Amino acid sequence: MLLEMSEILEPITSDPSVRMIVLYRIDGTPILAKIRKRDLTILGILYWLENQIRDALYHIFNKDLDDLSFKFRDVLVKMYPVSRTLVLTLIVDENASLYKLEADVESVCMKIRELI
Amino acid sequence: MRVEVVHTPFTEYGDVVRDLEAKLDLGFEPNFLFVFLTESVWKDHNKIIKFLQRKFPNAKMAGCFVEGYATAECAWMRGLAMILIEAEGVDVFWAKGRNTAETFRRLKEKVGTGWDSIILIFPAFYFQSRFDVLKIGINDRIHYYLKYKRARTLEDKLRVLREYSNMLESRYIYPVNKALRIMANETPIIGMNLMPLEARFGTPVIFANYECIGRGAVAVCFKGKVNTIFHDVLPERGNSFDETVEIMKNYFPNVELVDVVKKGIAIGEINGLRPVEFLESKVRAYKPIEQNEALNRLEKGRLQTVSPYVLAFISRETFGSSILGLLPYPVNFHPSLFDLDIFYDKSLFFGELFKDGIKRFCELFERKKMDSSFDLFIVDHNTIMMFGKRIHKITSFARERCERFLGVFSSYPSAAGIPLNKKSLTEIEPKICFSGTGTSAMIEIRDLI
Repeated sequence: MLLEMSEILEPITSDPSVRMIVLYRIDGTPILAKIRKRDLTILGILYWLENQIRDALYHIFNKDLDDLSFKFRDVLVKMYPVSRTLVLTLIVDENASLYKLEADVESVCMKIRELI
Repeated sequence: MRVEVVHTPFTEYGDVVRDLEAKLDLGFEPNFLFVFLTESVWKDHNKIIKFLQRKFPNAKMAGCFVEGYATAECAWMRGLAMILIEAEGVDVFWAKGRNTAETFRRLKEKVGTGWDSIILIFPAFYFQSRFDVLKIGINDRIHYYLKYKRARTLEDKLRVLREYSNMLESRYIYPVNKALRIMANETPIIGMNLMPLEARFGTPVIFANYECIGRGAVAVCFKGKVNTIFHDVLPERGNSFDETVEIMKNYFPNVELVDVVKKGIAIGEINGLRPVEFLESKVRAYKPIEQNEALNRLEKGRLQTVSPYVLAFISRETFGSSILGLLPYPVNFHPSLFDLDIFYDKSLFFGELFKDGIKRFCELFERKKMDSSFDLFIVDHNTIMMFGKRIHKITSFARERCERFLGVFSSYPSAAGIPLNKKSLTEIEPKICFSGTGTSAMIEIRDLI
């Protein structure tokens, strides 16, 4: 299933404005991570995410949020609930075409929902 | 007739080819390809078109760039989608000329008669090159605006605007209603008047038979059992200027009646101010873009061409209305994508808002007449900006109503000669519909002969 999920995420991963995609379980465990290219600058963000992810997921699921977004200097962290147990997290450049990216992310989420 | 939709959400050339190779094993030999590319494959689009030519050397082809597409599986704003057809009743023609009249007269001659539906693809605004766009700015400031400022009477001002309008028409803009007026005959026409959401030099790109045609027009013609539908989300028009104004005041928020000095496709003044000044006076956040900034954005493919602040002109011929987005372009005269001569000098200024949101766009599918047809629909690309990921509702509605389909998110489609089911607000000339937002169209194809 992870392999299939990885294939579903592939088109988004190839987007030049997307630096990293992580699929988190509700308990904050990353079950799938795809990185576009080696980039040390996102290590700090990942470290921050590791500490905050449980709280963020708690808010997404308990307040029924459509998505959650944080900005760090030149990158955005966007979180989209896929199901009641999974959250897709994208680390993207701040100048990305978000309105188009969000439409594509929804396509990906729909496909993952079908799979699970 | 056999029709197949193939798409790939990949954007790198190698991935695109690998994905397409796997999907293009069709079991039939298509004689026509209708290709819709998205901005994400911009850097490799020539290689992709060449790949398709190698794959289907004997097939005719038409194509263009769109913002996104919807298939039975899902909607994507990346990669490309195409319709592959094996049938007799489909053909493609294209033409180029020095101006709108010449281009579309030539195309009309080539198309001839006897078709049951036509999709007309042409650039509403063509962003040719850095030099060319720079020339608009220089001409605007040094040549035309100085003359305009010196003009003593309204007639003199209109004469300068006419000159400016002719210049725009000869190099950059095909006014949509004028193009449709020339092409119109008894055949229903859907106009894909292309204007990318974010423009770059050399856009919009249109292909005919695997060649990029530059600033020209392409007609994709269908013959057989087809049905053409045009829809707009706006209320019905009134029977007089005042009635239409009242209808629009009730529909849109904060509508203001303004006086416009206009001629051809050029707007000189709004309430006595230059269009950019007027926009700035109404919306403080809209500072005029500097010319260099505009050129840099065009270089990167990031010059925004849509705006929520609009002028709605009311037609003298039908009392219908067409909407023009106002943007803080670094020019003194605001260009229009449609011929303004048939409109009243008083127009309405407001910020767009559609009642009932995305549901109104789904009404297009309720007008379907054919069962077991293949449907190609075009939805106003402003929906992507207005509704974001909720545009998937359009796709899910299409899935309920259409057996096989491809939807594209492209510029607000226009129409000529398509039967309407209401007194459409966007019918600005008899049987000609256009508005800068809120329109969609569909062609149902059951059989092509």
